[in-house]
Amino acid sequence: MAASMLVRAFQNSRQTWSTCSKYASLEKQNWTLCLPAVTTILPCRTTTRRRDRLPLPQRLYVPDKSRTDQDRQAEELTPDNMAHIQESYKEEEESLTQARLCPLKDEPWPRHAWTPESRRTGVLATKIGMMPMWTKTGHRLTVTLLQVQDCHVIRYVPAWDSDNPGILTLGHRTCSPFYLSEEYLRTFEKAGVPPKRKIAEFKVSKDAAIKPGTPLYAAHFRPGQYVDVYGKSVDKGFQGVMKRHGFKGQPASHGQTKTHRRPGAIGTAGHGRVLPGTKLPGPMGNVVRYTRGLKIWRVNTKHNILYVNGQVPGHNDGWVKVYDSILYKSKHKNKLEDHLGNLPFPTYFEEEEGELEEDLYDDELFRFDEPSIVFESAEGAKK
Amino acid sequence: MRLSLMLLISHGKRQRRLGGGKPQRLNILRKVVTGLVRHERIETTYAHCDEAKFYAERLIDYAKLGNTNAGAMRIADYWITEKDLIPKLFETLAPRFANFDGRYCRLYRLPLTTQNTLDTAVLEYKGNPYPSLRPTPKNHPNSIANILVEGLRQDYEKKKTETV
Amino acid sequence: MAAFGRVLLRSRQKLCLRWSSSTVEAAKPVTASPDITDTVQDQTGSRKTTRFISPEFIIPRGMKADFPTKNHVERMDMLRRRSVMDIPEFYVGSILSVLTADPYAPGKYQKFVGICIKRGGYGLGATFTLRNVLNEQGIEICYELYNPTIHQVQVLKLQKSVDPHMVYLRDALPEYSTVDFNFQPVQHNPQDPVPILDTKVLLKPPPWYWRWERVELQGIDREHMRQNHLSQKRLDKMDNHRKPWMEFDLMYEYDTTKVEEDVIKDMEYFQNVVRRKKETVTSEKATEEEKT
Repeated sequence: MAASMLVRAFQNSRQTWSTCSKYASLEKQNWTLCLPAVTTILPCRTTTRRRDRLPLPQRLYVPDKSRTDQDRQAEELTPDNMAHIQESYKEEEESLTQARLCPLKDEPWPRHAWTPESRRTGVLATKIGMMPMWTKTGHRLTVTLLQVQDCHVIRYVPAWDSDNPGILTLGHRTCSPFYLSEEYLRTFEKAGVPPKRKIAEFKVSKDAAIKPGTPLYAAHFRPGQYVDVYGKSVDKGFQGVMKRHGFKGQPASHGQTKTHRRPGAIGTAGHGRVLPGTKLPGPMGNVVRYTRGLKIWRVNTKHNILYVNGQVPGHNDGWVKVYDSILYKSKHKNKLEDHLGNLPFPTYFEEEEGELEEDLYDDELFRFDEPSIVFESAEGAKK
Repeated sequence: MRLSLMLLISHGKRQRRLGGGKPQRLNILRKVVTGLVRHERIETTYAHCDEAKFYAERLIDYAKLGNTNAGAMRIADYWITEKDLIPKLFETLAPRFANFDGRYCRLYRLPLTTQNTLDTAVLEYKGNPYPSLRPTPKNHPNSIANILVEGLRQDYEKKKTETV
Repeated sequence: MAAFGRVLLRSRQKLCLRWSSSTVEAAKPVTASPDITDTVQDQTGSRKTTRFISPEFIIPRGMKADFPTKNHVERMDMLRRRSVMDIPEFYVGSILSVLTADPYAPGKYQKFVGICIKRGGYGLGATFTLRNVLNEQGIEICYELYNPTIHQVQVLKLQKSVDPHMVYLRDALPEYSTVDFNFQPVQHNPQDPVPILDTKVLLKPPPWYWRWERVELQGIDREHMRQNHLSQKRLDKMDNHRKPWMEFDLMYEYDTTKVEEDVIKDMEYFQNVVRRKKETVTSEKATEEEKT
């Protein structure tokens, strides 16, 4: 609790700087360059959480004259005290994360057995890049690497009705609390975990509820199973119909004038208006997309990396939600028992299952420390 | 290099376009860098400052090789258009930054005002003779917040010594 | 004055994929004559002291460099593959023979011999392209360096082109890219510097794959090209595409020392930790089998 008080004190001393910005535009005549008179300039740090823009360097600001020097002095911390706050918080963060490493020792919630109706939680992960891989038959794959970083359960809201699923809130990537709002920090206090950059909700069945504060790892998923990935696609801006909807366009020559990438007729005959939903140019990307039924080829338990088949929506360094595929209800119905029944339920606990190998591979995947592939027959090469 | 993740994501732009084309861009930046070497603190548009900062720092890296180095002299000869400044680069600036780790410049953005809506900035070499643009940090150890945190810190240190 | 530009260019070629290593370092050796600089560079170059790092280990600049975990994991896989199959040191211009497993070939193996004209990609996706002329037909095969179907990569003749790529061999006379399939390997002493392939190639008349007169490649006989293949119009436009300011644009320099340090750290980690672990596991298994 001491640390959260200190965070308040830190933020108060910051706020005096940001309020100066309001008065900056009024004080041009006071601004003189290279003169010793300008000694009261204060830097401004904004507390925005937007990350889609480049962080620009701080502006120099003329101070707020409505506040006296005494007001400001009352809220500023000396460098020693500032350093102490940050140092003591670091220790608290370490103790918080270490206390959560063995969640089963700490009064676990009642455990249930897996049933075909059960619905496990997913995890939040970061997309960190792509690389090629090969199967044992020499078939080339492209896999996406998703890293699970400091993923903790933060809150569980049980269902109000037995038919509906409960909601599990997960947090992803620990961050500094010093620039976050008080309301946002309060969500993590009960779970006893350090604040996170991103929180998201997952629907889980009643028997798959997990106690808040439990860490989730990449070993929650196992090679061979199928997952769905949910993320926000790359923003392409305002695009024409050829890129946005894959229209064919028109010929480059043969009498074409200014009509090469345009949509052509949009079928207004009869009704005399543009029907809603007509494919036209417009903003493309930056919308939520699912990719379903991606196979997990490999799991790195040391760095918590999932090697997922194919492409995943979003940028590198963007967050994605990964969870058991809903295609087990329709397309992969016959594999439901084999795949989901053998997974750790409700999640992977290290003290229960023991330490896993560093890399878990799918049976079909070529391991790079194996000898080169030899073909016995032509059929062996076919996927 | 102003290479950042966000910049690359937005269409892979690595540098700003200034003037007409790449040679023109370098010509503009040469003037800015020359002015910086002469005055050690200059005020221009933010875009020019931000681009020139990288070149001004790399120029010092080359100057550190010494004026007997042909490659360094070649680069200095190109980037400094007023040739009387070349001795200053090698004999004054290079020894000054002998123990620096590569960040030789400071960049400040100036406030946007009603009179001047252009995004201007100040670029300076560290260790210049002018007074600082940033306020000197003042300590107010007797304010309420500081006294409270000071008390916490003393408790913390006492606990640490006891456990040891 | 010209010496520095020469050294800068040379260091680009040395590293194949990148623009230059730290140019500040490359600028250090200064001698009176520009012609000597090159030879001095190569002879006293760091070949004996530092380890050779294959160019696919050097990641291009940009966002990919911002994920050290991904780079580490990928390098571990590359080193695993290298511990099983020997991938030798070779350059653009070297003559290689590659043996691959092919299910459709008679005997299930295929061998190809050719001159390496291009190296591309990085990490596990690195590639190299071999070119040869068989029955008056030019053939190029692009191999993935870490493809598990490759059984052997053998360097028949280690040599290095002066240019970053030799794609112009497509437009050159066939004799430059013809290699006999029974080419006998030429021994190379690892202590010696890599021999430089500095033949000037005669081009066939256009149409070409690229407008070679616009590119400053040293492996092309420019005088022959100028006299025989270029119209007056193309000759006039030739110099419009030169970029003499490029060597002064310091933003294009890429200091790879940090990346190289990471790579060497990973190599040592692999040698000390990963391989040793594997060896102990295999020895334990062997003892268990003996007991049973």
